[in-house]
Amino acid sequence: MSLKDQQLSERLGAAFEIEMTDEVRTRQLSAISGALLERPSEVLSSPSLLTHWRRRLAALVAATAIFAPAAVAVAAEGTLPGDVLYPVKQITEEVRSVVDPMIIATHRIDEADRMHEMGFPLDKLEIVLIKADNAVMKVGDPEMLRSRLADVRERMGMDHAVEEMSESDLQRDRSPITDPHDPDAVTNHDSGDMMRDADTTTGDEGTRMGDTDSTDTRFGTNDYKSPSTSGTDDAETQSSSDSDGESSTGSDTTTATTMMDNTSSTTWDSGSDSSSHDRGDTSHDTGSGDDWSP
Amino acid sequence: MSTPPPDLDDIVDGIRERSDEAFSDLHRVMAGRLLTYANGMLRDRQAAEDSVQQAFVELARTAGSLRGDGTSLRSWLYRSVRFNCLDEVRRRKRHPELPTEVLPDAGLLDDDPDLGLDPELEAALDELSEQQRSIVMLKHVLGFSGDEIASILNTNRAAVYASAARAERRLKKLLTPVKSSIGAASQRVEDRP
Repeated sequence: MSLKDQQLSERLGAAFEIEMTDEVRTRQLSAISGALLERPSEVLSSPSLLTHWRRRLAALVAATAIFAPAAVAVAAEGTLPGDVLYPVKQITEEVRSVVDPMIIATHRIDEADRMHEMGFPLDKLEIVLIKADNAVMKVGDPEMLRSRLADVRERMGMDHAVEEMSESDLQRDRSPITDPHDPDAVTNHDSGDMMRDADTTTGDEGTRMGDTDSTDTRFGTNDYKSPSTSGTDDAETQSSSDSDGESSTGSDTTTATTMMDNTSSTTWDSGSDSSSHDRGDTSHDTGSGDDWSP
Repeated sequence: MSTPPPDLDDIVDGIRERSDEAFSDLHRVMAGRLLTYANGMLRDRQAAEDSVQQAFVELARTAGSLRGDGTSLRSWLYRSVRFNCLDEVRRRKRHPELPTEVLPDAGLLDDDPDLGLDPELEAALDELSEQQRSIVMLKHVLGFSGDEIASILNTNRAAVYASAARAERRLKKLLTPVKSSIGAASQRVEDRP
């Protein structure tokens, strides 16, 4: 046997129907009078379900608007070049550099260190190192950052390689050119001459990396492309630097030489036309290598 | 079944003007029924009283921009109490350690501890959704029509009917008819001062 509607109503009414006591009524009227004395709210907050959820949605949107950018910035903090959030990190550090000018240099050095530990190719490491070098120079070349950068380079074996290469080039420059048919000798008389001159400055690291404009030109926008792509771009950039003729500084070409010696990619090797350096490079047959032709 | 008070249309203008007298009349007309509704939702007299007071205070603050007639005003109050009850239920879920029992000095029913305590009914109501509980209370205890309930719950009449039918089937299945206890409880309600 089941309940009828009337029985259900009676049972529910008996259980829950209550009356308000005078004491409660007085207390509530007092509270209402107090609310009436307050300055009225301008908008009636309709207690509809929609409004109820709209309030929550508004709170959620507000919270998202406040915390999402911060969350993205925090997430971008540990990114490396090539990561999706890396541009966010760059923007963030630009802003933070107003307060802490050394932050950009510190980040670049950290990135280079981490990329080295993660086994990134040397060409990419070198790009980050050059950026770090620039950043260190921009903040006045403080000893702390300079020595840290040197440590990182040393761990990578970069300086060692540069010094070896530079010494090798110097020896070639000093050797007399006796055979005009010698392909090495021909190479020494083309655009490579300027590079040889530049190599004499490699002993001074600050000079080598100090030219901000030149490195920006080389690495500004095409830093992290794949070797096959960046080879063309970089060769073009090199070509434009070369077309500047005598205005090219020693640091420019030294940077290029450094890259030549420490990368196996086609990017810089092809641009250098460096057959005289005995690296077994075959890439100077490529079109980009032609840019270096006088 | 009781019917909603007919004189709300006369009160609504005073409410809009935030008249103390109009609010007093409104409270006299509506507070008891709102309290019953809140009590059915919360099964806690003191929390129900707080929900009702909160609804009136909120109305007092915002009445200047109130639109519509007495029916709108009544619906607004029930909706406000309903959401206050829902907030209270959520608060209890978040903080289950907080006391939910009726306090000793809570009011009228404390003199008669048996009244309002129906474990079987409470267990059956627990099986319903919040919306179904609201509909059951509004229909069976407060005597509202399907249209009125739809207005209060901000839904349509068909949804109210469907939901009410499901809730009633469920309750009837769970509850066994205890005529004697119903009669006794009804008698106690009638005997109240």
